[in-house]
Amino acid sequence: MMESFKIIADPKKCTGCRICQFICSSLYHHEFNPSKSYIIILDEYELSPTIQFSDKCNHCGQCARNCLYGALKLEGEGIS
Amino acid sequence: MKYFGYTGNVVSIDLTNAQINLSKEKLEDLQNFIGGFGMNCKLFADLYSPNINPLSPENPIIFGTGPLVGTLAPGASRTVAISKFPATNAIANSCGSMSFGFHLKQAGYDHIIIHGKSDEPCYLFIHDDHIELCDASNIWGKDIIKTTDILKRKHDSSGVIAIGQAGENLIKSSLTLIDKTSTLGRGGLGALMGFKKLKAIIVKGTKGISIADPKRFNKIFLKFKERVKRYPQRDSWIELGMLRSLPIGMLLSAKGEKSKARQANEKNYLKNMKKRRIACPSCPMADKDILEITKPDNSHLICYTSSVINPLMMFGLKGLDSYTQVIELFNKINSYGLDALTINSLCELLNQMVSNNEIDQNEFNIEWNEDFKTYNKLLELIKQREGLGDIIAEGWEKLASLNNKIQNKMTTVKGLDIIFEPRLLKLGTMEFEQVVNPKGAHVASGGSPTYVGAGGSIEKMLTHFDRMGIPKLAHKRLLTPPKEEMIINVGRMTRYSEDWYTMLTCLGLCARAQMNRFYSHELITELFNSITGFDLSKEDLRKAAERSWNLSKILNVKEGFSRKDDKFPEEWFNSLKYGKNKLKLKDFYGTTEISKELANQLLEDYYDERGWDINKGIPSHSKIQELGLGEFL
Repeated sequence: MMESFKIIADPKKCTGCRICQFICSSLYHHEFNPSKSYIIILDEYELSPTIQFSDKCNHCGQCARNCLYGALKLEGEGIS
Repeated sequence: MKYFGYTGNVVSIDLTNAQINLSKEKLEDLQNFIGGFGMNCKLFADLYSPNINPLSPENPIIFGTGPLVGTLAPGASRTVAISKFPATNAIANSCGSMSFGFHLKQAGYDHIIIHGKSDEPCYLFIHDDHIELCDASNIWGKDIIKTTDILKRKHDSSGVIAIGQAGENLIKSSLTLIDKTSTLGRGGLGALMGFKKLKAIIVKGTKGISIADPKRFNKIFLKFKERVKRYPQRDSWIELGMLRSLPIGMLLSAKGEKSKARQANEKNYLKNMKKRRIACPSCPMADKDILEITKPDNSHLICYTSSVINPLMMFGLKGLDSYTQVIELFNKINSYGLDALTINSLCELLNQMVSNNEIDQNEFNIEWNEDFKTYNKLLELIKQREGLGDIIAEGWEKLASLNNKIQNKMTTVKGLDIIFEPRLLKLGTMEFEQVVNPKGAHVASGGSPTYVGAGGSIEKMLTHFDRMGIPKLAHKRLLTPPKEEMIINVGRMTRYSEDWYTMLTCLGLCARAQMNRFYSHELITELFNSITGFDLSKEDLRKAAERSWNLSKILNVKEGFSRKDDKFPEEWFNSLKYGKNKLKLKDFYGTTEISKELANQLLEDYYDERGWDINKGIPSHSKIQELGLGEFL
């Protein structure tokens, strides 16, 4: 059974790079397709972006493990 | 046939009769002419007629991306546009970033070809298989920021290339912005779209990209990610963005401008300008800026820029005394779709000539003062094509026709103003590139160890030679300059900087120093093969880049360009007054003053290293045959 984590999002640190979405879609859909990703970034190039998770997200934490800007982290772990 | 990395699709839009056609790329072409740079050249050459007016329905514009764009390949987001540009009459690829290329690939296309001319303002909307020309009458006349905001509100998350009033009014130095941030098309892409009455292209893609060997790719990615995380300077790059690459405060300080130096320094940038750091899709080294300033009247201004250096460089203009004026002026230039570098050069030249009484102010039709108000007024005149603004809108040659003293003072190559001043920065490959680039004064394709500060030691330089894939056999020639004390032969080295840049641009990878430092010739070949499923050798990839560069040169030879146009600006051979100093044109290590004879020798060495005809400065018959380009003659 896959581990499940609480993912803490800090939109202020998000740069809109979509690396989290590339990782999620390649893991669950075997293609690079951010539109199918279970993590959703809105207004990525505006003043205040929003980070949401779809109902299908199983909180595997791979998005947070690959975030290079500290915008996503797993509860109990330091910013990656 | 299954394509990996590539989509294999080209969409052609004829604006004259609103026709849309789809075609497939041949697999053979995708290996010989790769991606954004290479296939753009091939597609353009296939449609090309010589000596047409750039502003005519017959001049196509082709937008393209590379096989790595739209995937997780780090820093792969380039969009490339090729056309015949109105500022120079040269055929050239121009590059930008942000999310347009990503969305285009996700929508299922590698290239868009725009033909013809619409009667009424329109914009092109692509959402996967849905391709539509839409009425743009409600956004025609609006600036780029408003246009992009309106289109993004209407069509949701997407990549947008838009023009402002400068493009609509066919100003020859106009450009476009991608996602309000990245410049695309220095030399008149804005005017090319404006002539076609094409206000914007908006693309939204949701189809996804499959790659050939995910296991091999993942291995490369994980290793790459760890290297990026371990890079000791990464945090400061993310914090300071492009300001880290050129400390403008120090340059202003050397010029004796202490107040401006304080305002352009890192502390003031972080405290009073930087609002948010943004990144192109898949980029681990974010460097784009959203700035927010509080103006003297307490109102707030938001400014988007792909490099904070561009607005801060405007501090060099006399009479701009505060950072709020600098950002406000830059934001206006950007929003109109004008070129900040060109406007900066123009204002500097006019300031200098007025203060030396070398030009009669009556010729301007405006009262010229070195201040914020005059610069703003000039922007309005250019935007509306009134008086002096109308002359400037036609380009540098038209301005020079006002007065022969202007001609002698202009630092332009092939009709495009220079970006990097070698008397200040020394003659590295980026500075030299401005002379030989087919497009005119252009710097990015000259990127090499001479711009990452590796010049200090030969050992470090040689490491970079290997990283860029410079053949071992060439090393000795590169280290044999016309005079021994110059250490490197910048002419010969520029040829390989162009190869490296072309490979990155073909694939869609970022060429900026802080990103391309992680890549090597070997690594990009690995990435290309793991994503596309092709099996190209390093030499195949380099050869494909060389083939594309030569094809773009052949097209310009047909336009009449030759060695006579690769000309060092006369002004470079005079001293540049910089604060209390008088700076001379010197080699990269600053040991030798570059005379006209030395400059000529370096040019000949460049042509020789390219295997070109030294006297004519164009590809030789044997080089054309070697690269299989005979059909394009």
